[in-house]
Amino acid sequence: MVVQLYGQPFGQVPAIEDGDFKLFESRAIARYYATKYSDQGTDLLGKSLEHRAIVDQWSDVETHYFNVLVHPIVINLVIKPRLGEECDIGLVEELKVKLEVVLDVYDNRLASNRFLAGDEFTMADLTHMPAMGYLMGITDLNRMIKARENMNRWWEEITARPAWKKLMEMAGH
Amino acid sequence: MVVMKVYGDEMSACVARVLLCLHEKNTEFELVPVNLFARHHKLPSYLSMNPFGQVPVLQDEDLTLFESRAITAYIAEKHKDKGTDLTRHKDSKEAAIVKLWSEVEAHHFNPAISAVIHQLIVVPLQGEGSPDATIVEENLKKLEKVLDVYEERLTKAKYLAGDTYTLADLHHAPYIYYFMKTSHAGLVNDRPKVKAWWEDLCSRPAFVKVSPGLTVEPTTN
Repeated sequence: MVVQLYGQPFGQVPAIEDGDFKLFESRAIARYYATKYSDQGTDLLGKSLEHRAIVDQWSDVETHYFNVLVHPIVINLVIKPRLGEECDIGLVEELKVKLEVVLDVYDNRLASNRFLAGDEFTMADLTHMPAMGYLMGITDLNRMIKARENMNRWWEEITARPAWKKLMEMAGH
Repeated sequence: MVVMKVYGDEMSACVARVLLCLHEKNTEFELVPVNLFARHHKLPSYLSMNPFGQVPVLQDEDLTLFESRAITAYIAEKHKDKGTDLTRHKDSKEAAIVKLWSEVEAHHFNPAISAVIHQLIVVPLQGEGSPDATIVEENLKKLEKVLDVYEERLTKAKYLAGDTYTLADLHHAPYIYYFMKTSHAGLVNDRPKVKAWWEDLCSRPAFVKVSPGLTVEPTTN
């Protein structure tokens, strides 16, 4: 049904229609809007060619190091229980061990950088936020983040942003 | 003008991704060898460039960059006015479609194919025992679903993002090359559109320069 309605071949959300223009993949959508409205609001993409590359680098880190671990953790600990499905605890424990290593890299990065790509909030930070939101609602994962001073500082700063607060309001938190 | 440096080894698919982009852009570079077998990518001197201890790393004057797809995006943007147009930067909607199918490669295609390559090629190479048949089977199933989507997509367009070759296609090439060496090449060969697309990708002059470096062979599985 989703595929027929939105022409999204993987049958996943989100998908957008902007006039006749259709797009799927949340990060491509976010980037499209960040580019389309680059003259207003927060500069999410980066100013210079080099800065944009650093934003891309840490956005790719989210895909290849962070999301690969966090997505299955959230599926198992948050989504499956809601659907009455059995959770793979063994897998979750393995993923948590790998996540600790990755979070150490983040914590180190954020020790000398206010945000992942430097002095300003960009797409690199934004793209982590939904999954981080889920992690912070799970006791041991919350502890993992809070135990890392710099990550904790970063999380508190980025969740104080009005856009995040608006999202939380819309989501009924 | 200082030439860009790429740290890595030509046999790495992720390094090849970057080299492919440099060749498509006719850009000079220097490949600085990193001995992966001796684990030089885990040494502090390397970790100071990429804290995740992976190849490739790019150095362009005082910019140090890791993540192969961030590197290709940088090269494609820096040299957008020469060589192949890899990003369709002149039209924001077309650029978004390129980005879309690049995301598809990163999120749907890569996890499945890299897991198969890891089992069939990397695990034996590192002397870590035999391939895990369960992991291979699970990921081949995932890969088949993705390739079904591609087969459908490629009936509507010559390349993933439309009529011309872009980063969305380029990012796939090194892992497909390795995949075609395994006994599962049928997943590609049995899908006529995907097969034709792959034959186009691997016959591009830039790819012909890079493929001789992709020397590792799978175990018989």
